[in-house]
Amino acid sequence: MKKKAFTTKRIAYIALFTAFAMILSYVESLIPIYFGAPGIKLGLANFFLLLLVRYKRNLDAVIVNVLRIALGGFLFGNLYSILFSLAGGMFSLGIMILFEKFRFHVLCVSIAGAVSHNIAQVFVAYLVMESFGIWYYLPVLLLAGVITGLAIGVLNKSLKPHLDLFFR
Amino acid sequence: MKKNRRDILFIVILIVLIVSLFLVRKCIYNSEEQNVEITQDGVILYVLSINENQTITLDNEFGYNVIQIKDGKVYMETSDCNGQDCIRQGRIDREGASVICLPHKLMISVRGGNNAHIDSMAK
Repeated sequence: MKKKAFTTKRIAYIALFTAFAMILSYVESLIPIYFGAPGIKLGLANFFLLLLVRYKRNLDAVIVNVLRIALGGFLFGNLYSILFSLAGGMFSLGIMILFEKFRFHVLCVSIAGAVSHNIAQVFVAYLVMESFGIWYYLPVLLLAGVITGLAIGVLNKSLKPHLDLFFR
Repeated sequence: MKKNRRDILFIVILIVLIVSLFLVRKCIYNSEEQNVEITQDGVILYVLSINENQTITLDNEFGYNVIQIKDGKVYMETSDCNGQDCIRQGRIDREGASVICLPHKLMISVRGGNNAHIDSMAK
């Protein structure tokens, strides 16, 4: 990997992915799904991060993640939501990079990302609220993470061949 | 293949973790008390435990209602209102759920224990 420089193409797709991820996570937050716990969503933003991780563009994935959380948070959320998202997002990204490095299957990488995201968010919620009641949601959130992670993984698996040309 | 085995191991561990967490959760949180609150015209008439089977009969100027608490669930059994919507709303047991009989200004709702305000925060 000697592509250290920020080429025009690289800047372009970072911007594109940030915009996609940001608006998708906003649209998702408007759709309420009640499935035993509040705040369950598909995590479509994760699709782009997973894609970058799979192309071994880890730094780009981190940049996209931080940008989307910061910009999305200031536009649509508040400081708390940025804190929550940042903890969940960065932890999940780290886990995904690790899983990718150890050559796990795409679906496993995706599921690990989704599940670790939920674990981190529950942990931060616990630290902020100092209430044990929050752990009540953990099993449901883990299950939801497996399902949404599976969905994103399948999406990624089927779409990646069409994007290979772009990321050569 | 070695790669394949690792994936399967990960999935199995995850499933075991989730199942065990569900079991642990059931053990820990089952003891938590949930109450049934019956309100008519904004006045709280009864606060009852959801775990005790009983029948409440209300016969007053608003109308006639029979409310059943059975096996940890609450439902409206009989009502002499026009719509019968309250009966169709079914059995409730989840915290925050409610059965409402609008013509009789009657509301049955389930109130939880101490973690009632988490929903609004954990988004």
